[in-house]
Amino acid sequence: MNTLLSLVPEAFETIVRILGALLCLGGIGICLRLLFIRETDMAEGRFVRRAHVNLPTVEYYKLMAFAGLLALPVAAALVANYHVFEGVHEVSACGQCHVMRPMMNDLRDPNSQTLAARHFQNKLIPEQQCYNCHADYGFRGSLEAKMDGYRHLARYVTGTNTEPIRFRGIFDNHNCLRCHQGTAKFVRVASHHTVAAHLETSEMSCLNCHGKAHPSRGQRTPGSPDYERLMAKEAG
Amino acid sequence: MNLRVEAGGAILAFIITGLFVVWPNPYFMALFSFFAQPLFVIVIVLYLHRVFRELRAKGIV
Amino acid sequence: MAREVQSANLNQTRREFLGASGALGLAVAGALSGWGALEVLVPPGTADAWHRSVCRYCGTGCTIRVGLRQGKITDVRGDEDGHNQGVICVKGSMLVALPYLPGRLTKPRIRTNGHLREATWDEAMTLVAEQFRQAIQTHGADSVAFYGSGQLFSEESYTANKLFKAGIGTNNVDGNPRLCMSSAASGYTQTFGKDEPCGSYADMDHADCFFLMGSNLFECHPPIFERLQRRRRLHPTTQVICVDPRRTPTAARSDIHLQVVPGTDLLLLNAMAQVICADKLYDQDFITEHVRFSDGDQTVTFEDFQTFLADYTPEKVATEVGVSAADIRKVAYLFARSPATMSPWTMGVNQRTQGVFLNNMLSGLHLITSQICRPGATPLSMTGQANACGGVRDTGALAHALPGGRLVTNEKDRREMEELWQVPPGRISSQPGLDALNLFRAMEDGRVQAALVMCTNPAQTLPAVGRYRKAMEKCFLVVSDAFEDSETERLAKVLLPAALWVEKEGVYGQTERRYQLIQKLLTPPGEARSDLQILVDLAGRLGHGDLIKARTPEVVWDEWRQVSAHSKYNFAGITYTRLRQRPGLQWPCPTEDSPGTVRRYVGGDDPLVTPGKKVEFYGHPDHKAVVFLRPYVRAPEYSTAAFPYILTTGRVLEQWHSGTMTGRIPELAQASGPARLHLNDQDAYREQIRHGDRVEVQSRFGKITGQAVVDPAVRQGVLFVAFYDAKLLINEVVADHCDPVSRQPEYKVTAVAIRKLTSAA
Repeated sequence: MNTLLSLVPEAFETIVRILGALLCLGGIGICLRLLFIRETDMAEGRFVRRAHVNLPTVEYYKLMAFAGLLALPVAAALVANYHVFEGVHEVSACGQCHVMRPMMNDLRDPNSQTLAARHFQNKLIPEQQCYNCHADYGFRGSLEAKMDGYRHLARYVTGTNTEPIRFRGIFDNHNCLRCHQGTAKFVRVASHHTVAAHLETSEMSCLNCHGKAHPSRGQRTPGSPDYERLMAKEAG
Repeated sequence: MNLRVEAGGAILAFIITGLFVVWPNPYFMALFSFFAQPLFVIVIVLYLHRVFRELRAKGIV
Repeated sequence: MAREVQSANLNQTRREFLGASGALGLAVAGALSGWGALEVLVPPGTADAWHRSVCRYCGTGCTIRVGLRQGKITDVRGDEDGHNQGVICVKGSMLVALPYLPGRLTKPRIRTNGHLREATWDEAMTLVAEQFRQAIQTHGADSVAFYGSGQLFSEESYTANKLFKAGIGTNNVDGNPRLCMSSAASGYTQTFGKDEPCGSYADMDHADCFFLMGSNLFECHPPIFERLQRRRRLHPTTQVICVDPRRTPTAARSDIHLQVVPGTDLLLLNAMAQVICADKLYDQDFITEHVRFSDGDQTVTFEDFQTFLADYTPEKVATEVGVSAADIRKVAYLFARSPATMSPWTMGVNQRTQGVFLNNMLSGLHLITSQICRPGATPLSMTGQANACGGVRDTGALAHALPGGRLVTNEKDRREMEELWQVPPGRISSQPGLDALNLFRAMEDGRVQAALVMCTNPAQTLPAVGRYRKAMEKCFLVVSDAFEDSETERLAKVLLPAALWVEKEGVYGQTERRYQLIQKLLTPPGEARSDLQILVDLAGRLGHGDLIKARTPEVVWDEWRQVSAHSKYNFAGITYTRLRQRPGLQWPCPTEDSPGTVRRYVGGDDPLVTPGKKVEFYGHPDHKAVVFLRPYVRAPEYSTAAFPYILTTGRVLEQWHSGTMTGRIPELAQASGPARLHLNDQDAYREQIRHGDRVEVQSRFGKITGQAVVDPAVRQGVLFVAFYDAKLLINEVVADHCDPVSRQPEYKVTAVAIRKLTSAA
């Protein structure tokens, strides 16, 4: 599924939007119709004729109710959740919240040496760079990460987030280990073996030895010398 | 068959969902996730309650 | 009927309205309670409260964040806003375990009939005070001594220094920085007039050429190596030159590795200087304005310098140094002509009989090429311990020194300190005290009867340690330590349980003149006390309660801060309040609104520079830096038929110093394994030694047996052993020759013989 998605991400996105819009418009239309049902329509013997099919009116409206109050809501919600769980994989999606813009700008900064920037510079992650290390957010991630994702959303839209934002919870080292564990370079380091248990539970962070992943909290604090540069909106 | 409450709720939820699907941004996402989705659930529950009430009245359930 | 229908309709509308509001209300309630549930359910991470602090171990002085939950340390992270930008090493990561390790000393102990028995503080301190008083009364003030550490807080070293020099009246105050940074301190003082480097870690972000000498940054200052790598990634043309007899992990990652014969590298530096002069790679204008030449006794000319260097052409020295003349020329060219050259160095340069000369010459190379006082261009001695600079060098807690770069032999300096400390003139002795080796020799012949040893392990870390262990047994040795069972404690008459790291509050000052605060986060276990409390107690019992009026960390700090204002080590503007708010400040920092100094001697950065001057070496009266003519003298230990190999000692990444702390942490102990003897493969073949064989290593000073490791990284003719393992006490074998000026021992060059005992199982 993901390979398909990566093949035509933009086209798929557009299909999703069109489909979702159609489902919602259809739902609105049907529900409007349901709003204006008259008792007289329900009387015995009244028929509706659609596409060469004769349906008693009551049955017709029952079908409409099923569609508009069960089937279409479920379908529309499922399609909309594509944005919530898959759409968030895109860097631009993360960048929509202004407090994330420093991470996005830093990622693409050729002069940055944060882990995010270095992975980007090495071209090992061609796209969806945020998601590659923050894979918990997506469909396959942990429940905790999803809850945290919703929590971020609630905080941001109500303006109750701190600025600079701070990571709450424990970052799952498996986001790093997934690619790096078992490589020759990894295996050569004696400490990787002796602290393996701490790395597995993520109680010891890989960042301790390997440096910060993103601009520091100090840099992202309004008023810091780097703040303006990190918050710059991309041209176009 | 008075489904006006359910239909009204669904319309509101559909509007929010439709906006979000076409213009995904944090505010619409929040409205969808925290408001429209629960509203859909309530609408579905109310609708199903009606269905089961009718089926029970007819002796099918 | 119509009215009934109407009211039925109205009821229905009302019902619908209620239903609709109910549904909406429920949806909103659902949203809010959902959010509320998320806030509660999302797990909070590894700790509830985070505090900025400093790592306990090396001279990198990483700023860290210590996480606490319910009064216990649960996590340690690098501080992303600190100079180390979030990077620490595995030892720092395992600091979570440090305060909770078994084997903590919790009660004082007194040796009775050969055994250490538990005692109360009063009992122990009464005995200590009595012994000190008796020694002072019977044999004079110089019969007692203090041997401190670059791991004590600055407030503690300052107080000990004041108590002994201005209270008791002896200059027998020394410490393990004598074994570590003394040559650098003397080198800087001779060259610049004042101790402590002029550059900063920030220079690493601008250097085009790194000249690493006697420094295994990868293992011994890992976050600094990471910073160097960062520079290389951003700026791929950066050249890294590494001078080391071993192909260390640092050397292996360098562009040019000069694998020199141990003990010969002053020849290398002089040869580089010769090339720089002969090929006109020097900066004449800079030399004219800022440099004076000296042969150690008197001022000489630049021409004299060049004449002196004629004996040190690359071709003349290449064979003895063990590298090619072409490489020497190449390195000299890179050093001089790179846009910015930075030299980090550590013990390979300092722990030498010519340590001071090496320091002089390394700074000298920077001075004649004007690779100094600019971003990326600077010499930078990497400090070994977390607080050798701030705690011991700057406070003058050394046998020849007084605070702020003063000397006990200088009458003006003594008067100044007597006035600042409010003691009568003449109280401070004019006789330099006993430096480390001489101090322990004085225990041998009874000149020193009683000594207080704090936060260090000389019975493992002194060279030719067998002799000094016997000496320590004769002395009334009072040892303060956090853990029981160190080698030194086996020889103690009284053991005092000490607080460890964040169980007490104080300042650490690292490599780049940065002072940082360690706040107290935990209660010490049992009856352990901070070393400051122990010193204050002793002061009171010895009748110096009036002198040691500052009894808590911040009060001591404020006193020392004000004293510093009367010197070029002025950090009066570094208050605890400021230190709590930021990841340290670099001195000079004379006022509370001064931002600190990144590059010393540079106008606009260093507030002590005369306004209008771009560069000013204000340490010397003529405001110039001195380049010395330093002749090479072969090390006293050299390869002979009887002792054909050269032993050099050092550290490994996962263990800190004598392993009393890191050796107890399983993750670190397993990663390093036990200490072993590293032998080059050619030598192993010649001696018929295989990997894992038990071997005996012997020098004129002692012998030791251990397990051999065949390691091609070690230069042919060289043996390497790390000193963290008490079970392979390599210092039994190490010679105790030292630099005549700095009195720093030469751990890096000992002539040894090796023979196989038994084969590996």
